Amino acid sequence: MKTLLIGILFVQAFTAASGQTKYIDRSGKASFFSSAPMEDIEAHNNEAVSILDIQTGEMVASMLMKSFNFRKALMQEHFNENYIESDKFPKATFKGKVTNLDQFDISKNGKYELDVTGEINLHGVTQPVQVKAEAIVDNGGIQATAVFPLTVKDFNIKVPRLVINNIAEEVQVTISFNYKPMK
Amino acid sequence: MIASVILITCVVCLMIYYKPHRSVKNETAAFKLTVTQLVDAFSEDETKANEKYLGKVLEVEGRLKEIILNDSSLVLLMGDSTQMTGLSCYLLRDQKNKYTTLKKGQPVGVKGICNGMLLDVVMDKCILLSEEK
Repeated sequence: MKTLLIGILFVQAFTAASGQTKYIDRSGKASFFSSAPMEDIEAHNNEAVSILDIQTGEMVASMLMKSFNFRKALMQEHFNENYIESDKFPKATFKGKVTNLDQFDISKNGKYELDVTGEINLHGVTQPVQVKAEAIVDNGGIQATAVFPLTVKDFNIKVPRLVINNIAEEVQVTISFNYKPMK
Repeated sequence: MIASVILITCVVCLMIYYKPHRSVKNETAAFKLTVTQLVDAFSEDETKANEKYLGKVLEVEGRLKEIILNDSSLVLLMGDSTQMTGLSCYLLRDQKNKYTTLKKGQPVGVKGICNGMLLDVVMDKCILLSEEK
């Protein structure tokens, strides 16, 4: 018990001394994968930004729609112009909280499972989300990854009947941030 | 005659289907401006700035604040180091050998596509403009 207390005090003193409870990544990765009868569509964005406060659990993330890269330029054009309408809705944002911070310890290297709840704003529509993220603490850095499905219809993204076989109703989203203490 | 029409149609369709990605190198910049001008435009009125700059090729000059290199990208943060917002330039992979001579605080010129604003204004597919300038 005593060692635990000292341990807690030590950690608190340490984080207070360095003032580091906010972590940031400016080149986070986001990708989505849609598998449909006609074709598989995949796009990657390496320019997502996120800030995580490990004291309060608050987390924000945002990314620009035009930063998604597709293998085919034509797909990228359709994504921006017809589906996600990136001129009207240039970014997607997430605001939320890690709800099980009590199980997380930045001073101990290892793998943690984080419960994240919050809201995603995409294509002008806000939807609640709840995801499980895997976080790996490695010498003060946090590598966090989450994989979850998003339903195209939920975000008012209209797919013309003609190409309905080309785009899946549900796309698999992968988000990965490599957090470092904010300077 | 019919065969050639079909053939041409097919070729055109394939060319559209496999049309190449935009090349920043070959496109002329729609706007030439300083980091401060660009950041101010977005800070003042993001919607208006988006209308003007989103998806356009820009040539921007400013001071180098920080270089971030990781496995996925090479980012130059540009702007006034006393201010929170600046410009994040995601360089093209083939620019990797060029950045090594860069130093914090030096003026740099970059050309890239403006994608909008997050914490910073974001440009990607960036190339470094000649360093002699």
